[in-house]
This record gives sequence, C-alpha cells and structure tokens, in this order.
Amino acid sequence: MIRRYYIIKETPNNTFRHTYWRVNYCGCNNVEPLIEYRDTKEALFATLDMPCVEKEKIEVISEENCVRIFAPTTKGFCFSKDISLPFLTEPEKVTATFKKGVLLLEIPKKVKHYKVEIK
Amino acid sequence: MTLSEDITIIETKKIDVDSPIILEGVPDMGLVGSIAVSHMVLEQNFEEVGYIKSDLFAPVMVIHERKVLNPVRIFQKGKIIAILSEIPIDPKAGFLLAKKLTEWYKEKGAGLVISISGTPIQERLDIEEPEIFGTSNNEEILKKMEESGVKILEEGFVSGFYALIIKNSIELNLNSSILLAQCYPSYPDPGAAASILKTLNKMIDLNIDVKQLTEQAEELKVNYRTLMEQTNVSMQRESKVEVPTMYR
Repeated sequence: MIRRYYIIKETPNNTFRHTYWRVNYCGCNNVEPLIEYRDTKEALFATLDMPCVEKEKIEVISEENCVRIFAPTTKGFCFSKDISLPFLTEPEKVTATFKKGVLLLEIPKKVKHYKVEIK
Repeated sequence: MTLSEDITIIETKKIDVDSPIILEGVPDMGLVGSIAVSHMVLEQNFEEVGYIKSDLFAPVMVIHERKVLNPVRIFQKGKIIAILSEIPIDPKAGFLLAKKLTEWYKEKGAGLVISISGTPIQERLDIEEPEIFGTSNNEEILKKMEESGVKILEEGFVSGFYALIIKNSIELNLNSSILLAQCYPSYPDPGAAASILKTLNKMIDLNIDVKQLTEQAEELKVNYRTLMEQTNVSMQRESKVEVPTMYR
C-alpha cells in the first residue's frame, strides 16, 4: 500500500518565497527517470522515460522556476524529478502528455518585451 | 598496483564452427544491440561458451538465476556466435576490445560479423516500426541486407566501438556489417531491438520470436534503466565527432 506524506521543505533563510511543498511517498525508493531536453527560443521540451506508470497517477506540479514530476510505478518504486528552470515560466501554461511510457512536457518561457520609451 | 591493459578471451567450451556468423551486442544508443542479442540468446537457448575479461572493464559481475557471471560473455548455437556485454565499454577499452575481438574472429574463420546498434531519431515516439539502416564492407552482403529490407547508408559516418570493428575487419579481410535501428537516443528501446531481430530473421534465416520484446517493453525498459544510465555517461566520455547526417 502506498502511504502519502507531505513534507514542507524550507531554505535556510526561511522566506515564504522559497518554501514549497514536496510530495513524497512513504516506503518507496525514488528514482530519477531518464530525461532528454530540447531547448528552443520559446520553450523547453522535456521528455521523461517513465515505464510501468499509469497516466492517472502522474503528478506534475509547475512553478515559476521549477517543474516537479512524481509518479509511482507498478514495480514498487516511484519516479521523481525536479526540473529547475534557468528561466521563468507561466505555471498554468505548462503542458504534459503521456504516450507509450514517455511523459512529454512543454514548458513555455515567460518572455516579456518592453519597448523602452526614450525621454 | 598497475592495471593490465590486456583483454583476454576465455573459451570455457570448445568453439569449433566452420565459418561462423558473429552477432555483437554492446551497450550504446538505446541499448539496441544489448537488448536484441540478450533476447536472442534467451529465446533461442544459446549455450554460454566463454567470456572476456580485462582490468579495463568496470568492476562488475552480474547475477542471473543465482549464478555470478562475467558481464561480457560469448554464446553459441549452431553457426551463430553471440557477443553480449552487460556493461558499457569505455573508449579506451573499446579500442583494445575491438582489436582483440576482430583478431579472434579471424582466428575462428568468421564468415560474417554483424554489429547491432541504434541510430537516434527525435520523432521515435511517433514511429511504430523503426526502420533499419545498414552498411558493410562486402558488396554481396549489402545486396542481402537490401533484400531483407535494410536501407543502405549511401553517405555518412559511423563512429564508436562498431566503427573500430568494421575498420579492423577491413584490415583483416573479414566480412563485416553494421545494422542500425531508429531508436530513442537516451532510453532503452526494446521496439528497436525487435525491428533488428525481424531483419536478422530474414537476413540470416533465424526464427526469433520478438513478441515478448514488444509485449513486455515497459518491464524491459525498467530492467535496462540502470545500464542505459551508465551507458549515457560512458557515451558522453567518447570524443565528440561532429558529422553531417548525409544518409537517407
């Protein structure tokens, strides 16, 4: 049986900004999935190999500078991966597709262009 | 203590076959060679007839069915000899192993050497039946490959361990070929291994059932995950060769 724990992990400076929820499953060994990246001007595409996983049990949590992936397998361990982003994204625009045991993530880059007025 | 740079091929059983066909499965792109040869050996009940040892190999022994085994082993059934490695071969060991193996193939009077590997493709996820590409140093084998559905590389490059095998084969006048299945670059790919075995069934009249490879692909991917991870690290250590992909 998979029991579920939520652990609050905080950085030493203890600011709210750096506090986040980390999902974990008790009694499971977490394993990082094999991952490939493709970086473009508009987005980062990440594909994660996650065999023996059911689509319904995958959790993808997106934040402005991080995407967290968690999925229990049918083999007694869990896949877990935190992707730290070197850019900011809009969390609600991150998309995920699961096909043939591979999770495809499209993480759009938040690009803001301002035309600076010259005085 | 200094480590020996020797590579020794130990025959635990007498290998005396006339003009054998040698199949090589060494971990690289998508672990296509390792998965294909491993499946063939199990499915066709090959007999273990030897192993290869070297201080240059990672200090690993593998355990199968409670037996402790060398990770680089030699199997045989009839005219087919299979070389199977369950550890990634680092570039330095690769140079010496390719030399040692081709010399041994010559000594055994090999009729044909077939190296099995993969060629990574971005759209692999959308491909149901990976295509097979190939090359050989022998025109007749090229024709046979083409008749078996292999797309022959017209232009381009091969690099890594199998490039050394074919290079040494040319020097030693051995018939050598490379089969490459479209595969995931960094994930184990049992589907690509199944495509290679289907091609080998036609090319050298084998009768390997690949149903298990496709039906249990997910379980196999889990089993091969660690080897793939180690192989990815090992491949990153290889000197990068920037080559244009001219073949179609």
